[in-house]
Formats: sequence, C-alpha cells, structure tokens
Amino acid sequence: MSVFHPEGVKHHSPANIAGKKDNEQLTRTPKGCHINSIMTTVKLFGALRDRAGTGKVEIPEGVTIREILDRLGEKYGPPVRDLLLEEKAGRPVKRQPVVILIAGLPQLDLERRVGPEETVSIFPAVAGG
Amino acid sequence: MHGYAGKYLRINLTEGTIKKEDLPERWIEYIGGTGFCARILWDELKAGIEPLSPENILILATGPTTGTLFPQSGRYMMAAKSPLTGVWAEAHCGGHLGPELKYAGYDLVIFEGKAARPSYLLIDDDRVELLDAAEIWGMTVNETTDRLREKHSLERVACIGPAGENLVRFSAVMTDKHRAFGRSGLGAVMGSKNLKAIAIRGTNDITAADPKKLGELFKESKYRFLEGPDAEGCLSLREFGSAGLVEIENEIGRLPTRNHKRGVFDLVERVGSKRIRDEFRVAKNSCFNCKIQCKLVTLSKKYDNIGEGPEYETVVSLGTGCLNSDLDDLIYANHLCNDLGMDTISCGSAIGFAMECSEAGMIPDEVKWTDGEKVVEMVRAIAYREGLGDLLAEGVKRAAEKIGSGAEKFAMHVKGQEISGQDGRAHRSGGLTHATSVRGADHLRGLSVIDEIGYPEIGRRRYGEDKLKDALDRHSETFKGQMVFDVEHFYAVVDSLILCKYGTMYPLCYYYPDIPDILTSLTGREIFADVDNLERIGKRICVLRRAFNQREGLSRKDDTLPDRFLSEPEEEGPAKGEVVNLDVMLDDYYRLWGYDEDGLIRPETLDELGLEEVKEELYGKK
Repeated sequence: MSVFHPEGVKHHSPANIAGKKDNEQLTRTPKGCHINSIMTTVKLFGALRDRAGTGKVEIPEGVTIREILDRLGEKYGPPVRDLLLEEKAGRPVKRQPVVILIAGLPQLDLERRVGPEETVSIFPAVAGG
Repeated sequence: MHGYAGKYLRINLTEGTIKKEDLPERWIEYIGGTGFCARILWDELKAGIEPLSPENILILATGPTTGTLFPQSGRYMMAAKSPLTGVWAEAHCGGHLGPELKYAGYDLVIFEGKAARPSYLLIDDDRVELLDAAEIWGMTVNETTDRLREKHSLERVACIGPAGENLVRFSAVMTDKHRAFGRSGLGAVMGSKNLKAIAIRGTNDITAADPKKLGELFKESKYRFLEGPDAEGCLSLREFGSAGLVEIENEIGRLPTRNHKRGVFDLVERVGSKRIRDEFRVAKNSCFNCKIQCKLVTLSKKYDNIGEGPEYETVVSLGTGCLNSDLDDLIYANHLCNDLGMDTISCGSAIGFAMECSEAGMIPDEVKWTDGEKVVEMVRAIAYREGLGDLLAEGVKRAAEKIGSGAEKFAMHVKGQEISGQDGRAHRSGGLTHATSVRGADHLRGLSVIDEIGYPEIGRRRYGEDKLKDALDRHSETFKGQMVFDVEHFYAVVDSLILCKYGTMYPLCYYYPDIPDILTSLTGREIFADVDNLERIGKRICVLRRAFNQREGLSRKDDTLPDRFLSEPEEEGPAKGEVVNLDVMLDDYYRLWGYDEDGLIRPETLDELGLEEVKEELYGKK
C-alpha cells in the first residue's frame, strides 16, 4: 500500500523539525488521511550517498525493496536511478553492482517487505580489504 | 625475450659481487612474481635458517605484465623467510619501481649475505653498483628517498626507515615514499643485511610478442573498468580508496574493533571514507598504468603533514582496533608508519594488543583505548624500540609470551603475523584464509569476496544455482573450503603476472578465461595459452609455498585462529552470537588441496603437480 504526501503538507518528524538534510523522507499519504506510519531507515553509502545528497532516508515500514528503489529513483532522479536500476525485458530491475542489505545480510528478493525496525543498507558493490 | 626483461641480478652483499644472469626457463614455467620466488626460495634456502642472518635470501621480483601496456600492471613484490613468523614471507607493492626495474633490464634481483657496512644498490640500466650508505643510514624513508633522488637524478627508490634498521619484526620496505612492501617484516630482513635502499633508473623497452593483441586488450579494458557493470565499483575505489570499505564492513558486522573483540564501531562515521575524503583528502594518486587510481593524498591538519592513505586496513589497525576515533591522529600515525617504514596492520594491532593488556593490568604502562595521541606516540616508540615499543616491535606473539599472565589470549595473530581487517565470525571464508595463508594471517592470498558482501550474479556464474545459497552465506562454514581453494590458486597466478587485486579480487574484471590472451600477447609462450595449464601452475605455486612452510615444521596445528574467533561469540551486530567452526572448513580445504588430515601435502599431490623433487626432500627417496 503506498502512502502519499500531498504537495505543501508538512510532515512533522524529528528530522524535519531539526532541519537536517541528512535524514530525508520518502513518504506519500493518501489525500485526507492522517499520517501514522512507523518509519524505518534506508542508509545510503558511497557514490549513492553522494548522488542523493544524503546518507539516510526514512520510509514507511512494510514497503517492498523494489518500491524503495523506485522511490529513490523518483526522488533523486537519474543520477541515483541510473545507479540502482536498469531496463531488462521492458521493466526496471536492480543493477548487478548494487548491494542491498537488511541486518547485514544480502537481499536477493526485491518483493520482500521491510519489517518493523529493520534498516536497509544500499551501496554500490565493494569488497576486499 | 617478450614480456620479460630476460635477465636478473644476483647480489652477494658479503662479497660485494654483482652478477647479471639470463632468466632461466625453469623459472619462467612459474610465470613470474610469486612463482619465481616460490621456486627460488624452495631451491636456495635451507630449513631452519635464522631470518635475520646473512643466510636469508631477499628477492625483489616483477612479472611479465609489470611495466607493460596491460592495465593494473604497476605491481611488484618481495619475498624472503619472515623474521616475524619464521616461515614464508611475501609482500606486494604498487607504484612505479617494478616497471623501472624492468626498463633497466632486469626481471628480479636476489640479495644474499650481509654487507660489511650500510650499503645501497644503484641500478642505472647496465650500470649496477653497491654504494656506501653511511650518509643515509638513520634517515627516514622520506629523507632517504629525497637524498637518493637528488644524488642520482632519478625517481624510483625502495628503502627502509629506522624501523627496518632497528630490526622491528614487522618493518616494511617502502617505495615512492608512501607505498609499502608491508607485511611479514621484509624491512627487517633488508636491515639485517645492512641494505638501506635500492635506487633504480631504467630506459629500455619491454617488447610484446603480439603488440596488436595487447593493444586490443588495453582498449577493451576501458569497458571492463569504466563502462561496464563494474564501473561503479571501480569509480567508488577511485573516489574513496579502499577506505570505502569502512562503513560497509561495519554494516555487515565485520569491522574489527577493540583488538578484534567486536565487529561494529559506534563512531564509524568519524573515521569513515566520507569524512576522510571531505575533510582530509587534498589530492589523489595512482600506480603505474592503473585504471582505478585508488590512492588518496591526505593532510593531517593537527600535525601539518602530508602523506598517503589511510587504506581500509589502516583505519582498522590504527583506528577502530584501538577504539581511536580521532581521524587526524589516525592519519598522522599512518603517515608516520610510512616514514619510519612499518606495516600499519601489524603496528596498529600491536598497539591494540597493548591497550588490552594495559586495561587488564598485565603491563605497567598506561596505554588507553581511544587515545589517538598515544597511538601516534607508540608508532614512534615501536620504530625506535623505546620502552614498551621495544617489546611490541617483536610482534604480538613474542610480546605476549614475554608478558605472560595470559596475555596470549589478547594476541591476535596466526603463525605470528597479526590479523588483518577481517573477522571469521562475520565472514567464515575470511577466517579460513587467515588460518591457512602461507604468510600467516593474511587476506590477500585467499580472500573470497563473493560471500563477503554478496554477489549473487558472480556466485551463480561460478558455482551454479544449486550452490548459490551456500556460496553467499558468509555465516556458514559450508562450501567455504571450495571458495577459498578456488581463489587461492587464481590469486597465485595473479601474483605471478603480477596484477593488482583491484581488478582481479574485486571488482572481478578479470578471471581465468582472460589470462591466456594476456600472457600470450605479452610472452608468446604456448604454455600460457591453456586455462587448465594456468590453473595447474597456480596450484603448483601454492603447494610449493606450502611445502616451504612444511619444511619448516608447520602442519594443521598452525592452521588455526585465536580463541577470540573460535570460542568468543560476537557480541553485537549482524554476526552476533557467531563463532568459527574451523575444523569443518579445514577438512574440506585439505581434501581439495590434496593434503592429509594433518595438513601435510600428500606425496601423490606433489607428483601430480610435477614437484617430485619436493616430494623427495620432504619424504625421502623411495
């Protein structure tokens, strides 16, 4: 279920009140509905963080990983979208060099819903030592 | 001779003689680099020799790609018997010295004996001389390099600093001031030979057997590194250096913290790659012919000092391992390690060990966690062997034995070499490679990256769908013997060519199927045209290095990990509750390599790899 935030309506969260850029939100609430979402955190690293201009984004719990990637692409435009997604057989899929972790473990199923209190970490692939 | 310079130097420091010899075919069968060194050290060193005695041999080696148009070819290596571990030592370095050696006309240099007085070697194409180093003995790495550059109007200098002169057991040989043959104490071997430096100028060409093919490979490499699916990984390395791993390893609970007690550092953002880049990086640098260009030039504002680094490993050893979140102190401590000539991994690990011993009241010295200025002070004390530094300069294994009182449980080493920035509890295959690597705890001979963060596409391609789950599960022992075995013999080929691990370990731009074209376009040799034969050469090199260690008395009892990894569950993070079940992985690993249950090489394994003379020496003639 997507949650929409109409234009001009402020969503009061600790991050917005503090005015910190480093913790943005990707929420949409249906018109007329009160906002009552439990938020979970998406952490961005490396070039992804640079392109988004932020290292942390808050999302409603219960969205799928695919929805997170879509929203990041929508919010931050081609610099982020092109890093995360590519077209295959007419639909956007996660690009190979993008790693998605929840609780430090790689997530391969993009339809997996993010549970309460889970943190999603997304970064361009790195490794080594 | 295509690809190779075709000659090598043998320097007898005791007699002061210099011999130029043709590169023998018998060595070329091992490709180059670590292959050359495995063959030479097996043939020419006897078991039981003291590493800091004149009987040790020190080799500076290149490979057929070094100095050529093929990218990632700015790597070169040194090898000897290690004064830290008493067994195999090799260390690789990136920069420009190796190419210069080949342009001077030599593929490798072998140093024997000990000079009567401090000396250095000048190689200026055909002119090779042993010269008096009295003026530069005692100088730091920067001072030595500047002086020799000025004196001989050349650029490329390899040298030791005060740490090597003082026989610090993990002292390094440095090149281009900031690049290190870091691990296993090769700086002390050089210091024990009264050899201060090697200065090189070369003006000759290296020829390729098929220059057109080589040119095509060079052009095609642009796609592999900068345009294809690995481009982001390469560009990430270019932007952040290896330090880009800091934040990621913290996410998977594998960022060694507090002397490898934990895998998560609460203050990671203070020492992470973003802050390094944003607040301390002033320039970038690169090795010869590199597509990735991962080096950072940093300014320590507190100490007003410019140098290179820190790498990921150094952020761990001098930072999180000591609970030191002062990035300025960390960066300067790194600069100091380079200038005094020490391995940052072992040095930082020794300081973290001292911090834990001090906390437990095992040593009278006050060395407190988090104290970045103390880290800087200890780096200097170790290099000059002052006070506690003199004890730590022996390495954590020897230091713990001397301290007693149970200090051994804080000494994080394998075979005497301090553990690098991995934790087997959070990355099982990393634990296996630490336990089994020929030079002691080491991630560069056999680190598997497919399971490190999780690369399903590559895992699927290499192992198939049915093995994918096991291959990607970094908390499971299953299948990890196979994964370490596979990369070990591949990296032996990589370390013989010599290519950088950035491009072969990660990103995985080149693998076995690519190597025949690279080697045949350079050398024209048919023995390198077949992947199966290349794999066999890689295995032969690995087994020969292991035979070197077996000849020194090593066996399964030495392929182990500290108790911290085997029996102390990880306290927090994604690896919480995990320990390493090493025996399960060792059994699998030994089976694949053809070793028996005691880790000894089976005679038939040596026969299969054409190492019959090694079998005779290990087991006698039958």
